[in-house]
Amino acid sequence: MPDPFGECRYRGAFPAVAAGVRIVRDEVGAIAAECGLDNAAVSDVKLAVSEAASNAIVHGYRDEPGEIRVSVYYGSGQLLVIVADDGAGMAPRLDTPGLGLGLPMIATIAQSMEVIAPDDGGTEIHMIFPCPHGVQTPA
Amino acid sequence: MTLTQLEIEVEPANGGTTVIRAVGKLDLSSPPQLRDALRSQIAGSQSLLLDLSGVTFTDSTAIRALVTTVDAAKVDGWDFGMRSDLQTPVRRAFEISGILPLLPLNDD
Repeated sequence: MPDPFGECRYRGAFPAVAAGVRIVRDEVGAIAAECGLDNAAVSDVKLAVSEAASNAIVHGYRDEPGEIRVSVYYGSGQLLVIVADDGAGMAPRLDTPGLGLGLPMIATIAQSMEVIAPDDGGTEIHMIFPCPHGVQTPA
Repeated sequence: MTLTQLEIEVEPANGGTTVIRAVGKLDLSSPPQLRDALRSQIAGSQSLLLDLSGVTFTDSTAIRALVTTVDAAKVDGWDFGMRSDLQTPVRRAFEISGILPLLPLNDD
């Protein structure tokens, strides 16, 4: 990942099940705290990550087995979290357990967000948050 | 390893209000548990109070169960209330999702 986000601070892969969502949420929450975010902002990051990971399970894999990959970068006052899957994309689902609120909630919480459909399949959700301690060291 | 994310306790009505108390975290694993508890009480109660004051986290996946219960109470004519002392992350999730004004939060 090029500047301004600097080197990858965290990379992990988790089974696409509800327990995986909890682990992803807690791992990224710890990094958000490391970034200098206060408790309320850390909670927001955890909520956004929970929504993104749940989307991967419900819409990407449609409750079939799969893997959720998470990458975190920070620098220059911003935290970038990428939640990726190899599922079927973001097509709507009539039997969804939610109300389709996940992506709008991420858009409200994050400074910016982008949903990417890579050429080789799956979905990536890129979310940017403020990161007070993430000042990049000059080269 | 088993992670207990959510515990639900039901205090029967005894002629008054049935209280459902949830403690823990509401996420993708929770909707069936919460929905089943609410549905099972809806059938036999004229008054239901949901206490989420012990819930420390929720995301949008639990919201459908709440909205469904609000709608059912209106349609079938029974009382549904929620304790208003929600923890900050839970209230924030309800605010962000836009459902906070729809929830029947009681003054405690």
